Order: sequence, then C-alpha cells, then structure tokens
Amino acid sequence: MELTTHATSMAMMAAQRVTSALSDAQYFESRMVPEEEILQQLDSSYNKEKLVAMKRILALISLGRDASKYFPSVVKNVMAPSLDVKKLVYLYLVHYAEEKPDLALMSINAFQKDLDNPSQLIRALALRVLSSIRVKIVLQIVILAINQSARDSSSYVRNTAAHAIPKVFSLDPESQEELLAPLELLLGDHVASVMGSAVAAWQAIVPHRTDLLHPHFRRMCRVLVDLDQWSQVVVMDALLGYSRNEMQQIGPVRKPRVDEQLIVFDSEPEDTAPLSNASAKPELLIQVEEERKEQQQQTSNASSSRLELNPEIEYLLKSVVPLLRCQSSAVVLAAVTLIYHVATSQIFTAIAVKPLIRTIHQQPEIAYIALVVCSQVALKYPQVFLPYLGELFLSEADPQPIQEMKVKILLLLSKFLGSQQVPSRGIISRLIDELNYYLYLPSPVVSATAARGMCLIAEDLTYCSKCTRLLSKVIQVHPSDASVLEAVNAIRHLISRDISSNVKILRNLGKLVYRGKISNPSAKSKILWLVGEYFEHLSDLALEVLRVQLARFQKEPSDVRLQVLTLAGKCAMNCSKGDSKLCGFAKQAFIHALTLARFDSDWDIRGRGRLLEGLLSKEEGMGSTLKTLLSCRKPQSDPGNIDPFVAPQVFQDDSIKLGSLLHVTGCKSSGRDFVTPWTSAPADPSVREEPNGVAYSADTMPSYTQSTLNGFGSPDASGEDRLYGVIRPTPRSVAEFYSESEESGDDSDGSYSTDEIDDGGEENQENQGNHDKNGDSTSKGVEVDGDAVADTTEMPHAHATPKDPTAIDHPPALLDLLDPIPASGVLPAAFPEAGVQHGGFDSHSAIDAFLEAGEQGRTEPSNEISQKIDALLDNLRKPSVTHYV
Amino acid sequence: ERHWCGNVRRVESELFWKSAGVVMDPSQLAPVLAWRPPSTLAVDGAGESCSAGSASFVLHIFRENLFFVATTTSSLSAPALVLAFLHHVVDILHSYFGEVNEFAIKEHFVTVYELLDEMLDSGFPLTTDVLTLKELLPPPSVYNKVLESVTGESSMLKTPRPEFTSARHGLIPWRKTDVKYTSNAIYIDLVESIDVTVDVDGRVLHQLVRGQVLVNSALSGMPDIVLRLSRNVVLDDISLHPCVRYARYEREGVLSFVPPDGAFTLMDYICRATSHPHVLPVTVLARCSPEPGTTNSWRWNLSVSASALAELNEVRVLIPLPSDVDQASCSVSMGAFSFQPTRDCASWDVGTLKRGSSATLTGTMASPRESKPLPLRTPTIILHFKAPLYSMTELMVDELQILNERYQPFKGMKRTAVSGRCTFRSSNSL
Repeated sequence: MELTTHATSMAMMAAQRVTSALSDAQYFESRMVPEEEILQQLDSSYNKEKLVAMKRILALISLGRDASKYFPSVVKNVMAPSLDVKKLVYLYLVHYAEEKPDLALMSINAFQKDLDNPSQLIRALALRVLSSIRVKIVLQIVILAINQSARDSSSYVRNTAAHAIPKVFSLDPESQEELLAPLELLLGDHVASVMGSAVAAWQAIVPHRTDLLHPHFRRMCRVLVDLDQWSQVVVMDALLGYSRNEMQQIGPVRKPRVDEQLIVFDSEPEDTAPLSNASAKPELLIQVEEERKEQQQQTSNASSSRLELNPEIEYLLKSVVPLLRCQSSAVVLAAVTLIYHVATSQIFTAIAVKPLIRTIHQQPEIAYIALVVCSQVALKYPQVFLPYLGELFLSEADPQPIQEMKVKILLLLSKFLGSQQVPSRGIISRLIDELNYYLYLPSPVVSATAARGMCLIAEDLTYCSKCTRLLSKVIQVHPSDASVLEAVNAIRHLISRDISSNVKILRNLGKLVYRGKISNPSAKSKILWLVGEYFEHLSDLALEVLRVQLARFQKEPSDVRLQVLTLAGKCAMNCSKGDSKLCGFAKQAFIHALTLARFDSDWDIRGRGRLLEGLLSKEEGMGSTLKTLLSCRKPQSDPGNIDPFVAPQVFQDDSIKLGSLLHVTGCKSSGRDFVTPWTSAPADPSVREEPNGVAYSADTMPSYTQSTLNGFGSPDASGEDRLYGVIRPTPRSVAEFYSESEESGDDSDGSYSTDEIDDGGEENQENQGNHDKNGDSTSKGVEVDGDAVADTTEMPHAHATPKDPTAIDHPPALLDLLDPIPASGVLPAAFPEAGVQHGGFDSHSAIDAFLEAGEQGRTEPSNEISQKIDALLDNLRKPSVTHYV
Repeated sequence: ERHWCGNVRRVESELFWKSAGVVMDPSQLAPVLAWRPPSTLAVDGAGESCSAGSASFVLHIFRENLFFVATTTSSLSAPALVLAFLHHVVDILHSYFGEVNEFAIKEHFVTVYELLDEMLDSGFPLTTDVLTLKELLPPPSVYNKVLESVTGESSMLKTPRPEFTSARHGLIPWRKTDVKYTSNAIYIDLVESIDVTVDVDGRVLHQLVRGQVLVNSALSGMPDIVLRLSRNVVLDDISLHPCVRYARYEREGVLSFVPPDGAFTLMDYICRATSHPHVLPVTVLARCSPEPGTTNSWRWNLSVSASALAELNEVRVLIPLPSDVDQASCSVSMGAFSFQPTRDCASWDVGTLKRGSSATLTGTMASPRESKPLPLRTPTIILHFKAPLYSMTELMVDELQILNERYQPFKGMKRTAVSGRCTFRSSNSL
C-alpha cells in the first residue's frame, strides 16, 4: 500500500516534467544556462543534478563550444557512484585531458581504484579511459595496468587491454619494447575475440615483426570463422602480410619461377615434417591439377609442369574460403584480397571471382570499393568477367561514381577483347552496342571512356568500320568537348588503321565540315587534318572543304586556322600531278591561305605560314622538301595506353594491395598500401608448431573445400579456361610510375605510350607535392599543330591529360632547326609569354633574329642548317621511326 | 565531438562540406575522398563527431538523408571495413531509436555518445553486437526516462548482468539462453529484388535476381532449425548468416541453424537469368520522340502493365531528364504525375496495378527554345514496384523442422518480389 502511494506521488511530480524532460534535446537549449548553475549542479550531492549538468556540458561540446573551464568540477565527480554520471565524466575527461594534464592527474587515483573493481565492466571502462587520456606522465601506470589486465579473468577486460596497447604506442613510440610482453600474451589468448584485438594491436605497433605470429599462425587460420567481421578483416590482413613475409607460395622447396604460374616441381618436399601429409592430397590441389590438365589438352605444347602449393598456404586458403560466403562485404573483399595476393591465378579465378561480383550489388558505397577491386582484377584477368558482362553494364539507377567505375572496367574488357582473337562474337557485338549507348550519355567521363573502349575493340579489324561509323555519328550531337575530342581521336586512329574500308565515313565527316555541322573546334581541326591526310581518296571534296573554310578563315579559332593552312598546303602539294584546273585552284588557294596567315594575329599561324612560304619559294615549282614535310608518314597512334582513363584506380604494379586506400583514391596514406614481395628466406615451418595445439594434418582441415570449389567454378569454365594467364601486362613498379623517367631512349615502337605515361607521372608527382621541374617541358609543350589538349577539368579522375601526339604534323625539332633563334633559345610561339615572364628579355632583338632567320630560309639556308634538315627528312622517310625531342 | 586519438581540428569537416556542396544529389559523391592537407574529424548529420588520428582520408555513407562520415590517415583499416562499420552504426541506431534522423540523434545524443563509446575503442570496433550492446546500454524507453528523470538513476546499474560474458563469448553468442514466448512462431520471407536493364528495342540486356531469406523468429529455448529449399539448383551464389552451419550446407544443401532471436537475414542469394530465364511481372513500353517541327520538345508515350500473374503495388516511374528541360505537361490514365525541375526528374506515382491491367502516360516535355537541341538519346526510365506473393525464381521452402524443442510453433512463409535497379531505355521512334 505504501509503495503504491509513493509511486503515485512520484508520478505526480514527474508529470510536470514528462513533456519537457523526456528528450535529451532539451540540453541543446540550455546553452543559455549560466555557468554558475552548471557548476552548482556539478557540486550537488544528487546524482540527478550531476547528470543534468554533465549532459549540458556534453551538449556544449557537441555544439563546438569550449567547455574546458568546468574541468576541475568535473574531475571531482570521477568518484561518483552512479555509472551514468561516471560514463559521462569519462567522456569529458578523455576529451579534455590532453589540454589540462595537471588536472587530469587528479583523476588517476580513481581509475587505479576502479581497476580492481569486482565488476568486469568497470575494470574495462577504467582501463579504456585511462589509456585514452593522452598524458605522458601516466604512461607507466597505463603500461602496468595493461600488464595486469592482460592476465585478467574476464575476456572483456583482456580485450580492452589489447585495444589499449596501440593507444600507448601512439603516444610514446619508445614504449614499444615494454608493450611486447603483454602483446605476446594476448596473441596467445584462447578466446578468439581477444586474439582478434591483439592482432589489430600487433598491426598497429609492430607490423614488421611477423616472427611474433609464428606460434599463432595455425590457430589464427583455425579460428578465423569464429571471429566477428571486423576482426576477420584485420586478421586476414595480418595473415596476408605474414604469409608473404614468412612463407613461400609454391612448395616448401625453393625453386625459381619458370614463368608466371607454371612451376616445375618434381621432387618431393624434403622437409615433410608433420606438414605435408602426402597420403591425403589436398582437394584444392586436385582441383588445380584438373584445371591444369584441361589447359594442357587445349594448349598442346604445354610442358609437363605441375603446380604444388605450399601446404601451409593451402591451409590458410582453406580457412579463408568459408568467409567468401560471408554476408559482410568487407569480409568478402578482404578474403578476395588475400586470395589475390597469396594464391595462384588459377585458384583466384576459380574461387574468388563470383563472391567479388556479388559484392558489387551491395550498398552503393561498398559497391564502389568492390568495383575498384574489380578494375584491378580486370587488368590482370579480364577474361574472368566475361560471363558477368551484363552485371557491369551501367544502370541509370547507379550513382555517378559507380557508373564511372563500371565503364572503366568495360574499357579494360574492350582492350582485352580487341587484342585477343577470341571467338566470342556475341560478347563483342553486345559490348559494342552497349558502348554505343554510353557514347550519348551526358557524362563526359562515361562517353569519352566509351569512345576509347570502342576504339580498342576495333583493333579487331572485323569491327573496325562498324565502330568508326558509330563513333562518327556521335561527334555532331554530343555537347561535351572532351567526349567529342575522344571520339574524333578514336576515328582518326581507326581510319589510319584501315583507310580502304573507311573512305565513305571519311567523306561523310568531310561533308559535315563542309556544311558547317561541326561546331567543336578541336573536332573540326582534326577532321580537316584527316581530309588533308587522305587527300588522294577524296580530292574533290577536300578542295570544296578548303574553299569553304578559307572563306570563313577569320571567324575560326586558331586550331582550325592552323589546320586550314595545313590542308591548303597538302592540297597544293598533292594536286600537282592531277587535273590542271583543280590544280590551279589548289595553288591559288594555298597562296591565299599563306597571305591570310601572314596577317594572322596568332604567332603560331604566322610562324607556320612563314615556314611553308619559305620552303615553297626555296625551290622552283612545288618544293620537294615541302612535299616531303607535309606528306611524310605520320606515326601510328597507340590507343592502348589507357592509363589516363583508368587512373587512379588501376595500377600496373602488382604489389599494391587490393582495396587499400591508395588503391581506391590513388593517394598515398600512411598505412600499408603495398604487399611485400614473397620472401626469399622463408621461416622454417617448424616454428609454426603449436606447443600444445592440435597437430597439423590434412585430416584436421575442414572437408568442405572440394564442393565449395565446384560450387564456385566459373560458369563458362570450359570455354574460358585456356585463356587463363595468357596476358600479363609488363610489370611497372609504382615507384617508377611516380618517378620522372624522362628519357626512355627506346623510340622504336613504344615512344608514344611512354610519353603519355610520363605525362601521367608528372601529374601524379605534382600531386605528391614533390614535383621535379622538368626543364624541357615548356619548350616541348609548344605544339606546332595546335593540338588541343583535352580539358582536364572535364575529367576529374584522369590525372594525366590524354594527349595525342599524332596530331602533330611536324616534329618540333624540325621547326627549331629551320628557325634558329640565337639569343633566347625560345620557340617563336613562346615569345609573348617569355617577354612577359623575364623582365630583361629583349623581345625586339629576338624578333629581329627570328625575322632574319626567316629571310635566311627564304634565300639560302646555311650549309649546316641544310645538312641537318636533310638528315631529318631522311629519317622521316623511314617508316615507324618517330621523332620527338 | 568525440575524439579518440586527439589532435583534431574541426576545420577539416569544412572540406567535406565544400565538396558535398558541389554535387546536387548527395548520392553522387564518391564514397572515399582524399585530401592533400592533413585533415581529420568526423561529423554525422547532427553535429556529433568522432575521429581518429590526423588524417587525410574522408569516408562517408549517405543514409536516411544524413551523412555519416569517418576520417583516417592510414590504411590500417581497409576502406571497405570502415564503410561497413558506418553502415553497422546506422543499423544499431535504428534498432535503438526506431528511426534515424537528425531529430532522433539530437533527442538521444547522450545515448549516441555512449553507444559510439562502446562500439569504438581508439578507432577499432569493440562491441558491435546488438545483443551485447543492449545489455550494456539499455535502449531508451519511456519507463526508463520517467524513472531517470525522477530518481536521477537509470536502470543501468540495477540490472544485473551475470551472463554478460557468456552471451558474448559463449558457444552461441548470437542467442540468449533464456528466451521465452507464450506462442511460438517463425516467419520466413523470401524477398527477391529484380535488377533488369531493357534495351531500346525491348530486349533484356541484363537480368539478375537478388534474393534474401528473411527470418523472424519468436521461438523459446534453443531451437535447432533445419530448412530445406526447393529448386536449390537455381541459386547461383549465396552468402550465409554466421549462424548457419556452413559445412552441412556444402554437404547436403540444407540450412541448419540455431536462430538468433528476432528478425535477421538468413541467406542472400543471386540468381542469374542465364541458366533459368525469369519472367518479369511487368512490361514497360516507353517511346519518346521529338515533337514534329520543333527542336526542343519531346512527345512521350509510356505504358506500364502488370502481367497476368502478379498484382503490383507502389508502382512508381522516375524519368531523369536533362537539366535544361523546364516544362512538362502529361496526362496519365491513373495515379499522379509530378515534375521537379530543380531535381531534373519527373516522377509518376501509378499506385496499384491489378493483374493484367495497365496504365499509360502521354504528354510533352520541353526545354527553352533558345537552348541547345535535345540530345539524340532519350532518357532511361527507372521503375519501382512491389509484387507481393510473386517470385521470380519460384524458390520455395520445402521443409522446416524444429529440433531440440518440444513445442510445435506457428510457421509462416511469404514471398515478395520488389524492384531493384529496374531501368528501361526509352526508344526513339526516329
């Protein structure tokens, strides 16, 4: 009876407050509460008052105000009996202790007392807060507490002790030695979750000491499935580092790698120990061998090689396989990463691809990471994604970043399909149709990448004219300059590859310019270049185009004017043998163009006009030098370098860790973004013996592996198997990628790609903040043909500028020689900038020198100069040799 | 503000908001951003913040119209882990407060602080299991609040937790030992979400069914359940809840498990249409052609029809439009049409479609005359719907056995198909 009345009276009292007091949000309103009131509440003897005060202070902190003035009063409450108040006080302490170390010391006693509290929760809480207070003076106390708690009977407290280790380490790295003892103890803890936390601590403080994990390796593998998802990720990361550092991938006996995957391994392992139980051949191995057999049947010349995984690696992989079925995508991705870096390519492609594809259907943020991982995998094993092609198609419902990642992967697949003679016609035409759809999407990144993808597929000549036709349609309608530019670049490449089947398309493009349908200046200038280049295929149209363009010469931007001038020159050169009437027109048009160029406002165009004019008048008739110059064979462009498109997510370097921050953002973090190379001095397997643990044998392994592998098999395995491992890009270390490898020296075939990569490298290095100024780059940047550089702002993800060197008719070096400028050494086109940049630059004398040089060219070049010109022209006549300074 | 490793400046969050402000639609931002200046701090929608280290990476997720942000310097924790953790935090907040929005977080900000404190220790996930968390920190209830506001004490201290560690580190950490229900029941929902992309010519370019087996168990004691699915063969790829005995599934293809209490996802599966062509419960005809004689307007003909097998609920058609479209006038046979020029899309709420019935939309959409002509490629429409009692894969629960307990529970099973990413490219009749 008494109890009920008591309750009712309490309810009465509460009723008034209920409306306002039930929500914590009220404390945000209380910022107007005077300081004294809060202080008074803190000193109150009632828990309730204290709680209110603490909540008010917390609200202040949340709003970003400085609440440190309450510190002394708050610290007094450390001993408060109420757990509620205690927790809030702890929150406050951790927040401000670093600012007021002296006052924080006042609370240490309370923590030490709490460390012996009978409740494991309070013990853990005290240790957690004690280690979070970043005050150096108490470090020794914390280390003592960690040592004590590492032996605690409660696993919860031990867990907290493991977490405390990195906290101490981050405050004082010199304490590392003292922390190793509790760490080793905790690594050996029999409770899985404690071990998980200990491994995380190990990674934080001594990730290079893989030897500490020796006795725990097998248990880590064994308990992997029992950990919570966060620990699983961390432990797998640790196992990855451990196995690369302490084991060998293939067999316990050291053998040189024969080629990328095939390892000749004939002798039985010498050190069988308890490890390789020869009687029970692991299923994984059998699976691999079966695949290998199929492969051998298909490729008749395969050697009788046999692959034998290190049994311990195999054990590790078997422990990881169940995690591929995990619901958490983070775990699946970590498992895929581990398999990618530890297993052979056959195993990876057989078991990891399907789970990887599953993760791209998860929440968009995770899917993004998964796609980044996919893109790296697609570089190495593009064929594994072919069965899942449809899932990589863009969906309007995807957010933009995901669409961009997907199209990057499709680009990699296109490159693969274009370069391989794969009898998968269906897939190729499906991909072409899809890319054709993307060409028209408004996003410049997507459509430009699609254009490049189409260009790469058309490396297979069967599809060349189809792709060229599709590409030529998009250039007149797409609003984005970057997309149109890329499409035109692709067209130019394809036409130059196979002119005979593409003449009609070229005519259509010419007609578009003739009718004024192309508004994008760089697209227009490139089509003009094409029309001039293939004059013999469409001479009548070329002259018409030239006529129309000359009429509106002044209205065009400088890119186009430059190309009109070049076109006029080409027409005049090539016409000389043809119809006399047309020929006369072409000559007149050329002279007209030269006149226009002479009075042009652009330095480049005047310079070019002067060059052509000088050469024209040097020899009687149409100068053969001029002819050679204009109609020399142009270098083939190489669209295969797709780095600018896939950057920063795809690295040529294999050692980058999948899904690491560096991989996802292209920006170095302070963590471990790389996997270490396989060690050359593996540890003796006996160190992994467990003193009292379960004996290692194949029998103790989980028995699900065989069926799992079958279940995971690639859907079209029979068809795709023989492609496994066929292509393998030349490894290029990331360090090299970043460094300025300026002169490659080898110009025979790869000079363009190198050039572009270097540009990319430059960009990246700039991002790294230690850009090494390249003296040449300024003068090199002057491109006589006015090659428009794609606007980088259009492609935020492309660090490097997609520059196409084939747009340049004449090597800059040649111009250099024709117009020697004695004093400055600066190209004519750079005059205005040079004059502005250097105050002491005598622009008058430089211009005089330039004019004189022009005069010289008109009359008679000096012996030395003409020799150099001859030598260069000789070189130009040789196919496939290209000249770049 | 809650700092773990100290040295935090609030300035860095500005960087995040600056880049977030650039994109109109929050979902369009890449989930991982890198900053050149060392930056730190994490802010979630309502001004709480937690952070770790002086860092240069900002990771975030966007859910319930709030950004949840984390920062880091090192790749100690893989980005996928961080993102997964953020998702987990949101799930936990959801289970605590029933809703996650700015108001709820403000209302319970102290609880949120305490929760984050339990879940994260120095940037590493600590206690993340809902069950354990709820023992450590009881979710707010009116009773607790009244008690608290009266006495100043919460029920926290008074609840004894002897079995706390046994729940965490016991044999079956996901289930309490003392669950009791007066009427035992178990419900199994098969929810299949359909991803489909249909070509301009009505060809299905790509089709995928992502299914989930959702279980809501209200069973006393320690039941051991064996679940057998029919047509197991159609499943291309699966992932399992940790409670499922993995080895047995691999061996026999049955799901055998001790269920956690309450609702959980037992299994996710993926079916690819390559092996078994599925029939969509809906057909869409979208035609979009330039209005004759103009360069700046389109005429739309759109029809959505349900197949004879399924009734569709909550049918909604989204039409993303180029940004310069500024007027739209459409007449619809049912439902309501609305056009939001600021968000560059039009939407058509169709409502419920009976079996075999269809709804149509006709009208025009136009951009101002002076702007550039409309692109040749017409928009792709996005379709949302729910088809109760429909299954794409015909997957069924064949058998549900409960071992280890005496009682006979009520067993319920339901199948639903929902739209995942359903897109239909409209055909251009020219």
